[in-house]
Amino acid sequence: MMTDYFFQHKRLLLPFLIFISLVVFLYHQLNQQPTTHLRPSQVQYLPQFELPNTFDLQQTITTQQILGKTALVHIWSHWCTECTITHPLLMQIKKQGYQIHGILYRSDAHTVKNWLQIQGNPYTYLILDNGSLTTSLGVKGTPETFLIDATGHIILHYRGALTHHIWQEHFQPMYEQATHSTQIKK
Amino acid sequence: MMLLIQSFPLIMFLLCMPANATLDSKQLNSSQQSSYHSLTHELRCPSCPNQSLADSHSMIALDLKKVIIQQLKDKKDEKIIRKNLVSQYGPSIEYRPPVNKKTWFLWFSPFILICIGIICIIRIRRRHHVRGAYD
Amino acid sequence: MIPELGHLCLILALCFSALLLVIPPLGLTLKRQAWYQFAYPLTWGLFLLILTAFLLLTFSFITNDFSVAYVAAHSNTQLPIWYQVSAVWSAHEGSILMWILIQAGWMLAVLLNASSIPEHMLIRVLSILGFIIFGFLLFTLATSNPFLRYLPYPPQNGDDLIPLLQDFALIIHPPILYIGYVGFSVPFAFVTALLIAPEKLSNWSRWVRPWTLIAWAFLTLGIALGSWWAYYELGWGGWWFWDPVENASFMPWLLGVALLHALAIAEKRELFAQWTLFLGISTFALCLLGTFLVRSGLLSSVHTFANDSERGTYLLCFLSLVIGLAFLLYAYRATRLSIPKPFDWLSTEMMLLINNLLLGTACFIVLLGTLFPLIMSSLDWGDFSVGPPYFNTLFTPLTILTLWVLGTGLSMRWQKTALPALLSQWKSMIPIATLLAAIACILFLDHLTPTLFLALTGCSWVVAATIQDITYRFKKADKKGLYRIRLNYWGMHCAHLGLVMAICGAALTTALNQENEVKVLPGMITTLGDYQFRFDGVSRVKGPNYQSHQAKVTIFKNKHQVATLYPEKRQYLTQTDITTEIAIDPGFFRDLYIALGEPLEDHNWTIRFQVKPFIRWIWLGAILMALGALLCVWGRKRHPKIMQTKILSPQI
Repeated sequence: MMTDYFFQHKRLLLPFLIFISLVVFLYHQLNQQPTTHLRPSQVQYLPQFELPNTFDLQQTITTQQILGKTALVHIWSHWCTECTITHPLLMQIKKQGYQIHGILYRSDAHTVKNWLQIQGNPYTYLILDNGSLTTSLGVKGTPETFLIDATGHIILHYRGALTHHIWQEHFQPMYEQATHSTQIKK
Repeated sequence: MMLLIQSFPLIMFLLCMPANATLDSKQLNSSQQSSYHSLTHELRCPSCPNQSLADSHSMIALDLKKVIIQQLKDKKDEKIIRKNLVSQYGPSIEYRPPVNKKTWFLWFSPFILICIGIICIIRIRRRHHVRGAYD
Repeated sequence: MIPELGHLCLILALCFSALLLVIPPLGLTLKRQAWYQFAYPLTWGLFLLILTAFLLLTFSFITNDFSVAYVAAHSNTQLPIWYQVSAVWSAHEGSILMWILIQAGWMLAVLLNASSIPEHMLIRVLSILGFIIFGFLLFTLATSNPFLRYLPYPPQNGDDLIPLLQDFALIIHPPILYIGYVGFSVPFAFVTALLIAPEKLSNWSRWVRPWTLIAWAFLTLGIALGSWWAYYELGWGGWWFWDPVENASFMPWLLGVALLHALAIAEKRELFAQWTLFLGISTFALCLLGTFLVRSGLLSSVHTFANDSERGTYLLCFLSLVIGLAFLLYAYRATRLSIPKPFDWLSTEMMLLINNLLLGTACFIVLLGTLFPLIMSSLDWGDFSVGPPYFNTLFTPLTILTLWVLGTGLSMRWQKTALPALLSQWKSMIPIATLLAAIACILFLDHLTPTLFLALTGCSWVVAATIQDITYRFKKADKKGLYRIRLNYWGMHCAHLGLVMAICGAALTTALNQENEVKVLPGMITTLGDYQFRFDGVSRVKGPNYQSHQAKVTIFKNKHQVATLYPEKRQYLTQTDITTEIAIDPGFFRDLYIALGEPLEDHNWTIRFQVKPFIRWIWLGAILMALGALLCVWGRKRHPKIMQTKILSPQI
């Protein structure tokens, strides 16, 4: 056989083979599409919490108030420019009749209240949080968006600014489906 | 100006906005302090390129450190805190990957390599003994 | 005009390297002297052209020519001149140009010190290096040309150099590291040349060893500088982070050590040719792989260069071509280069084999740990991070084991060590080692952990073995003979003691480190170990291109003032972010390390105090190692010029 003639010691081919498989692996990695920021959430259910309401700091909002209906939960801060870019989209989604709750991360309630008065308020509840709820949800940075069903089960988790495309492709159908199945149960 | 996930250049990590909150780890007793030390050094800041919680001053790292202190004060065990954080942020938050079916190769292949190496050395010596002669 | 000239130089250099790649080997096959000797002027021309291109780029930086995109992106009129010069290699394009310059420098160095190398081997080595430089030149011109213009509307002023990089160590760290990194291409070229045309193994390794030693010495210095820079610039007080970029330079270092010892066997005993050649190829493969990993953005790291998958693809193709061909050639030709000779269980050969096994495993651990997260995510098995806890867990026992093998190895002889002789040596070694270990353990009794204990005893064992070996040498040699002990003998011991010193430093720093992050008011005193830190408030300071908050901290030990330090928070004028400038009071036995944290309400600040014992030993150890390697080069026997020249010049 040819190989026997050329390569008298087969074990000397071993470094070559290992090296080539390493290169093939790296090449494969290099040309892989960047992983999507839409991924199954680590956390399964919305955790229990009791946190101040941004619009009325005397009041608190609890998990029970949020549950009962499918909703988007949007985590944002007023100093984060990417979050403010998403705002018009959220207003649009709200106008279509979907429910959105907000978690306001490390922000000044007063500033945000004024800002929302000018820009419009898409949020049914806006929870003020300094890191306790966001960390228990596994949030890495703002903005991030969750889709929860009536029982508080997390259906989708998206890291980064929500776009029109992502909303229509992924969130909207799942939202409809979740609402539908809740109605059937009832 | 907030960080997006995983892949970003050096600049972004400099932009991690430091938060003006101090962490008072002083309220912990000494065994809790050592738990705190090992947790913050062995857990990764989820939004930074490659930094432990202890080294990072980003907001998320401060949040997580606060959570860890609170849970230690609540007399939670180090292992449970670790498990909780993994369940929230995924296995990539741990710098020390757990030993399980997926990671056995990572942990044990060096030992396997050493064993193979020892066998090779024994064979090499024997081959040289059989074929060669002392000078 | 100037940038275009630089561009032209690079294109010409590309042509030169293409000629170097083709003509001299052809000349060797066709036996035409003029053709193969053409390699010499080509090497000179290549070097001069690249040097010119490099100087022209530097000139563009100094003259603030912001029409050059690379200059505009990494320099600024307010930048001090030395940073303008170092900014040349502060980012991807310029650092690749520097890589090429250093490569050309190595080629010239080989050419100028080749009196003992047979001509055909020299020509082959130059051609192979020409191939590597050709690849990098093509890479620069195709994907990362530093001379590209920003026309028709160049900016008035450039963006700034990243503040973290405005630093003395950054001026010298990349060149030194690259000298080491690129230097491993020389042993690689020699390996390939040997595979093409066999030579006597002992002669061959005598030619390669000095180059390997020099490359390794520079790599050691480069890594140490990088570690030192991270220590005082990144502000976390750590000295090694197991970051992918650090790992990329550490892997060739580890295999480089293995290669050096394998070459020692090859030179003295003509054994294990296949293994030595394998190491020669792999070490350079890891250098290229490291470059690829760092510059393709495949791994997330603190020091990432701008990511570009086109560059990554090119580098990977080039890497697979160079190394793939070399390994194929290896599989084809690496048979029967050495004749088996027997050696005993108790012999230097055996100990060096074990040393190579340990170093190879260490390198494998670093590679596996670095690539593991990638492997897992490609299998869709989830995101994993592999960090310091993993590496430290596996490296600690491996390092301690290496120390014991090293100490034992020093007391061995080639081929066969007689057991009684060995035992009599150990009889004098054991008391010394015990004494040293006992002293060390008593000194650090309060912090003694099992790991520290094992590390200290291991170090003592090596020191005892060194003392024993030197006294043995002294006894054997007469008074005059002492002067005849060659420098390379001292070089070996110097490098080994350097290793011991670095390991001692690492172990002691880890075990004895004290730190405290506190909230302070002016006048407040914080006690840490034997030291009291008094915070004296913060003032505003203006620098040449930054403003800063500067804190004053006075440090006392037993009521005596030790030092006054000024840690800062800096805001560079052209950047939005704030950087932390550490203040350090360095010392041979301890560093006092202060990082200013954040301002709080009412003149409160957060601040981090650290006492880091013996941390300097890590870098001093590295310097000793590099010095040892250079002494080995220096003190080598001046071997006779090769036969050809002797024949050509008739003796009178």
